[in-house]
Amino acid sequence: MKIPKLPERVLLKKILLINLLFLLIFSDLSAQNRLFNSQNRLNFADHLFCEKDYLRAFNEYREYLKYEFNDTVIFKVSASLAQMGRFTESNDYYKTLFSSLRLSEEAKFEFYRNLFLSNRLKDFKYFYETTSFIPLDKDIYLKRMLISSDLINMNKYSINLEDLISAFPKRAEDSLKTFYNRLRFPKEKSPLTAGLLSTLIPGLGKIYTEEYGDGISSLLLTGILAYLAIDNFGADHNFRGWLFTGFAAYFYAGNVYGSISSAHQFNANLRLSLDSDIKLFFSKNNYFLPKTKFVCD
Amino acid sequence: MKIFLFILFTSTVLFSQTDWERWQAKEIEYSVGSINIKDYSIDKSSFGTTILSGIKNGYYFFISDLDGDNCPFHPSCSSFALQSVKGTNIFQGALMFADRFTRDLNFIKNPKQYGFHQSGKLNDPYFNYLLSESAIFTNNKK
Repeated sequence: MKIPKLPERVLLKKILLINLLFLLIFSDLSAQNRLFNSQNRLNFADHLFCEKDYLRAFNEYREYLKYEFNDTVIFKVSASLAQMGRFTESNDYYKTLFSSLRLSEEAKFEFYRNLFLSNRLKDFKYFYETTSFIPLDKDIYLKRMLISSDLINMNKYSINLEDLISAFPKRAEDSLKTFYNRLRFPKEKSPLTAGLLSTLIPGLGKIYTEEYGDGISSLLLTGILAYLAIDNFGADHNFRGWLFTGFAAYFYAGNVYGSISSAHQFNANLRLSLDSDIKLFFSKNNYFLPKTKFVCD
Repeated sequence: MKIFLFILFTSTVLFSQTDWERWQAKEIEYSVGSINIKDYSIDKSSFGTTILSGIKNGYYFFISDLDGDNCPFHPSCSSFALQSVKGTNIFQGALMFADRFTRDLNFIKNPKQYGFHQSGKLNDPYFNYLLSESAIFTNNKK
């Protein structure tokens, strides 16, 4: 092999270095451009959205919207915000779509649904009754939300059973009737009765509120302390007699208080279990949430 | 030229942004924090609570710390008493404590009545005994 002369070698070296430099700079830039172009960003955001990584999907969609306008993307931004519980911001985005040609109806419906989910029922009723942007094809769902809102918020005096049943499919009728009866006519325990029963016999109030173990221990504790007091008085141990009398009286009073409180707890637990049953029923049956077609199909 | 190339190469590597920074990743902490640290502070908000927290500290120091963590409830009976008095008044708090003490004596405790705290103990907060259904409902609503 013929070795080049010295000036040629220097020249070759320079050309090689310049080439290397260009390669380094431009290959890097073009790779960056390819990676972060709008379409890739959108694909990645869609992927994150479908993976339910809503925070990062929201950030990517927002970056995308800096360069391109796309009403579907705005819709997905709003949906991501709603999924994260940021309903007010979500509604701000949905409002921008009210004049959109393709997504106007969906955006209006989601706007109402956000009001419903964020428990802004006054606003929901106001917009439902006064404004003209009710999505026509989804009115049935909005009516359901409106009617069931009293049941979900347990406003027992404002529920109309007939309206409630007529708004939902036939198969939901039995469950709705049961919920209505549980709300309207709960099998509560009276705190007064519980207190009086415990005044007569310690622990009886707790047995009335179905806390049998606590009732028996209450009777035993008060009984033993009273017995000790009487026994000590009988044996002329007056100090110990008075000491145990004090303890007995203290725990007797505590037992009456506990029975009243136990009745209150019993009633609150009835409401709590009804509340969770209602929420479970509606979330299982998906009566308010028709799935938007283009999202992650 | 060599120096320039060296700087170019190293700077590219040194200043390049990693995925770790891009997504603001966080180190995950798997260890479970201790939830049984006793609070020895003296509550000076009123005369009654100052005395009570003094008694509670005495109880912690001389009895509870030596006896071990045996209370089946969360908060423990001493904390429950203090919280009850702070949340209501000395009389109602004392009655709430008497009731709690009686329930603690029940050997067969029904877990459904209380539910479980994250510490594995029975959850029995003082606000369930304020004689107010709405307070119980609001505080326990999921």
